[in-house]
Amino acid sequence: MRLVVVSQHSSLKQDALSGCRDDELVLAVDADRCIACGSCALACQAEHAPFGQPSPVRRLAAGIPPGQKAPRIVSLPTSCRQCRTPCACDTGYAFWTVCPAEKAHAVAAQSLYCDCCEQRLRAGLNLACVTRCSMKCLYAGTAADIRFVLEEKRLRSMGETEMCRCVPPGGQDRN
Amino acid sequence: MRLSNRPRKKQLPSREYDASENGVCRLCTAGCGLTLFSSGGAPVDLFGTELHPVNKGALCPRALALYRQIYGKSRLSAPAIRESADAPWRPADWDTALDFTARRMADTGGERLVIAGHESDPFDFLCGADWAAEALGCAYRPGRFFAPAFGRSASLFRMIGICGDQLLSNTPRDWCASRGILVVGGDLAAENPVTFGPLQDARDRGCELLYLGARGGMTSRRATGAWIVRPGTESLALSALLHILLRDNAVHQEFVSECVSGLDALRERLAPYAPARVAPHCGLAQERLEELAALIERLSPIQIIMGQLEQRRWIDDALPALCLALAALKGCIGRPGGGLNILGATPFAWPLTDNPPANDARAEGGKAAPAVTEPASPSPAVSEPPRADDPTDHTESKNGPLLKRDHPLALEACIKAHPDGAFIGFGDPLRRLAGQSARDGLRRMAFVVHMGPFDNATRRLAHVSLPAAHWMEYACLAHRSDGRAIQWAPPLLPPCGFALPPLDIWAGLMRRLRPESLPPWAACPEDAASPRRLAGWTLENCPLTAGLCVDDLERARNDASPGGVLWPCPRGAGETGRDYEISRYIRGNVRGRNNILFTPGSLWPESGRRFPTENGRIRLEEVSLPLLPEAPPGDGLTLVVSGLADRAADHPQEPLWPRENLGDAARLHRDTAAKLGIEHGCAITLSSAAGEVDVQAVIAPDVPENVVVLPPETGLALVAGEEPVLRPAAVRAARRK
Repeated sequence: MRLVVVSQHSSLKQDALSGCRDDELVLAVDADRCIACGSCALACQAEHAPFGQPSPVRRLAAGIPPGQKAPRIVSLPTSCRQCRTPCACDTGYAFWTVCPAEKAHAVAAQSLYCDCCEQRLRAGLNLACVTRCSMKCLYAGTAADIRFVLEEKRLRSMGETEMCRCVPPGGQDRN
Repeated sequence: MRLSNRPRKKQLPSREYDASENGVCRLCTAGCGLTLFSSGGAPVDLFGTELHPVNKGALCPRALALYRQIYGKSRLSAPAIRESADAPWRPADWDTALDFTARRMADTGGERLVIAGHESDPFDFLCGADWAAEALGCAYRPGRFFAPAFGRSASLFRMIGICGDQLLSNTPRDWCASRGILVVGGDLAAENPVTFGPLQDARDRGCELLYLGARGGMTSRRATGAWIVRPGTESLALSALLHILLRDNAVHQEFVSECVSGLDALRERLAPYAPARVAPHCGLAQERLEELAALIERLSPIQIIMGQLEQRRWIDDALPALCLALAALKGCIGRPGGGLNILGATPFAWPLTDNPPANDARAEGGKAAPAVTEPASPSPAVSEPPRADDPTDHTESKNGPLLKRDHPLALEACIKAHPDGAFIGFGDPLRRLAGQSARDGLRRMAFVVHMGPFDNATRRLAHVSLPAAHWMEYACLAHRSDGRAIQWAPPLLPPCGFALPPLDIWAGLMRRLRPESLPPWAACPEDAASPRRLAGWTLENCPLTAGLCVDDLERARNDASPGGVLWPCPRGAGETGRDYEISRYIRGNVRGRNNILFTPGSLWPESGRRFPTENGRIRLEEVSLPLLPEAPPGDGLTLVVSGLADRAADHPQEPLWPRENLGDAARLHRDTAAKLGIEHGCAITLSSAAGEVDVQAVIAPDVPENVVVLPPETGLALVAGEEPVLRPAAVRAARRK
C-alpha cells in the first residue's frame, strides 16, 4: 500500500501517485484537516485486539519538513504491527518498507507491517483508521480512486494543493 | 493486495454481531451518536452512528477508548465506608453504606451540608442534588446548568433577556452558510474534535476561520488566521475590535436601527479602548488588531463561537457580552450562518422557574406571532432589572464579595466556612477547586461523600464511597449539546458490579433522611428514582421543550435517522404538534423559516419586541467592559489554565489521548523555555503565591511567549483563591533539582 500526504501548504512538487498502478492500494492523508487526534491509532488498536483490550500500537509523527509553512503536526494514521513490541522511537515513513529498529520479526503478530485491515477489506469495508477518522481526512482506495479524491480537493482549493510524499529528515517534526 | 470492489466506509465491525443499539455519547457537549454492536449479549465493537447528524459516524479518540475506560482499573463497583480518611476502606452493601451516610449527614445537619456540582455532571445527579438541597436546606448546592457568565445576572442576560445557554444558536450544519467564523478562546480541535469537523468543512468551502484566544493549539493552526493574545486579555482585544468597527462606522445600519439600543453610550464607553492602547496589553501589534477588524468588517454573515467544555468556567462576564455586541453590530443575529453560537447549550435553566419569560418569541414556536399594533407589555421577569444579589445565581462568600454560584471560589469559600460540615460531590470535584488551601479545606471537613464511577483524588479524602453507574449504564436525558438537540440516551451496557445510577443513590439517601419528601417529578416514592419520570417532567415544565415527551425522543433515536430533536419545541407547535422539529432535523433543514428573526431589507412584523428585554432590543448599554490597566504587563511568566480536562488524572495507567493533546504537562514557547533554561521533556517546578506543582515541560509552538499553559488538574493549584474572578496568575518556573 502506498501512503500519500497532501496539503495546500507543501511546496514539494513530487507527485506521489506517479508510477502507481491504477489498482494499487493507496492511503491518502489530508494534512490540512488532520488534527493529530489519534483516533486512527486507537482504531488500529481496536481492530487488531479483542474488544476492550489494549494492544501494542505505535503512533508515528511525521509531516511537512521543518522550515516550511504549517501544518506542522500530522499524526500518521498508522501503527507498526510488525511485532509485539513496537518501537518507541519516532521515524519517518521508512517503516513501510523497512523496520526502523531493524528488529527480527520472530514474534510477528498477525502480519508484517500494516496488514491493510485485510479482514475488513474482505468484508467490503474500508480500513479501520479510515473508517474511524474523526476529521474524515483519510482516504483509502485504488490509486485511481485517490486521484479522483485529490483532484476534487485540488479543485476545491483552486489549484493550490500539491501532492507530496514527504519524508522528514529523521522524522522528528512534532513541533 | 488487489481490491475486487471499492471498500465502503461503513461504521460496521468486521467481527460477527447479532444486535446493535444506538445511544448518545455524553463525554463532551457534541452529542455524538454511538452504536454498540454485540454478539450473544456480549459487546464486540463500538462505532459512531453512521446516520447520526452530529457525528455522521465519526468518534473522537476519547469515545473510541470508552469501553476500556469503563472497565479500567480505577472503576468502582461496590460501596465502601471508613471512619476517617486515613483508615482503610471497608466494603459494605448498599443498605449499610446509605445508612452510614444518612446517619453522619443527619449528625452534621442540613445547614452545614455542601453539595458540589458542575454543569458537566450527569443530569440525574444535578436534579437529585437539587431535590436534596431543597429538602435539607443545605449551605451550598449546584445551582443550575449555567456557567456563571451565561446565567441570569450576567450582562449577556441583561443585554438580550435570555440566558446564554438558551440562546437560539445555529447548529454546526449551518456553519457552512457563514462567510467568516470567529472562534473565541479555548481549543476546539483538542477538546471537542467532532464539533471542530464542521468548522473545517466551512473553511474548506471558502469560509474564513479566525481564532482569537490565549490558548492557540490545533484550532489556531487549522484556522485561516490566528490572533493569539496574552491570557485574560481576550475581552480587551474584542473591545478594541468593537472600537475599530464603531470608529470606521462599519456596522449594519439596518439591523442596528431596528434591533439595537444604546449604541451611542457604547461608543462613548469604548473610546478609551483604542487599538494603540490595547495592543500592548494583548501582546499583539496594533496592525494585527486592525487587520482582524478589517477582516471582520468585510465578512458577512459572521458567526462567533465560544464557550466549550471546561473553558466555560474561565470566561469572564465581559467576553460573552462583547461577542454578542460584535454579532449585533454586524447585523448577524437570527440570520443563517450568523450569530453568537454558545457551545453546549441547554434549554433547561435550573430551578425551572428560571425559564425564559413569557414574551420570549420562541415560546410561541419560534414563529412570528400575529402582528400587534402596540408593543406587548413586558413580563415582570423582564421589567425587573436583574439584581446583583440574585439569590439563584450567587452565594455568599465569607470574605464579603458575592460569588457566582458554581464558581470554584464560591465552593471553596463554603468549604472553608463549614469545617464541621458534610460534603457530597460527584466525580472529582477536588480538581475543580482552586488552590491548595481549598484542598486543605476539604481535607478538614468532618464528613466527605464521594459519588462517582471512578477512583480519584476526592475519593481518597472521602469517608464513604458510593459507586455510581457510568452514563453508558443507565438511561438519561442528553440535554446539553453543541447542536441544540435533545436526545434520549438509553443504557448500552449493564451496570458494573453493584454500581447504581446517581438518581437511585439520591433516592436511597432521601428515603433515609426525609422519608416524607418527594421530588417534584414523582407522584409516589417509587417514581423518585425513575429517569423517565424525571426527563418527562423536565421536558414538560420547560417552555422551550413543552411539546416533547420521552417517547418522541425515543422515536427520534430509533428512527432511520437518529439525532434527537431540536429545541425549541414548544407545546402545540405546528399542526402535527411535536414532530415538526423532528422532521426538520431529519431533513437537515436545521434552520427552518421560523427560526429566522431577521432578514435584511424587510421589516420583521414585530421588530419592536424581537428580544425579551425591556425595550425589545439588544441593549448595548449593558455590555460590561474589561478593566483597561494603566501600564502594560511586564515580561514575567503568566499562567493560563486551559486544556482538556479529561479524566487523565482518573486513568493514569491509560493515556487515552496523545499526551500533547491531553495537555497534562506545562506547555511553553520555545523562546521562553530557552530563557529559563528549560528543555523539552524536562521536569520543572512551577510556583505562585498560591502553591507549587511539579510537572513536565513541553515545548509547544502555539503557546505565546511568557505564558505557561496548564490544564485545570494541575493549574488550579497555582491560582490564588482571593479574587471573585479567576485571573491569570503570575508564576515562576525552574528546573527541578
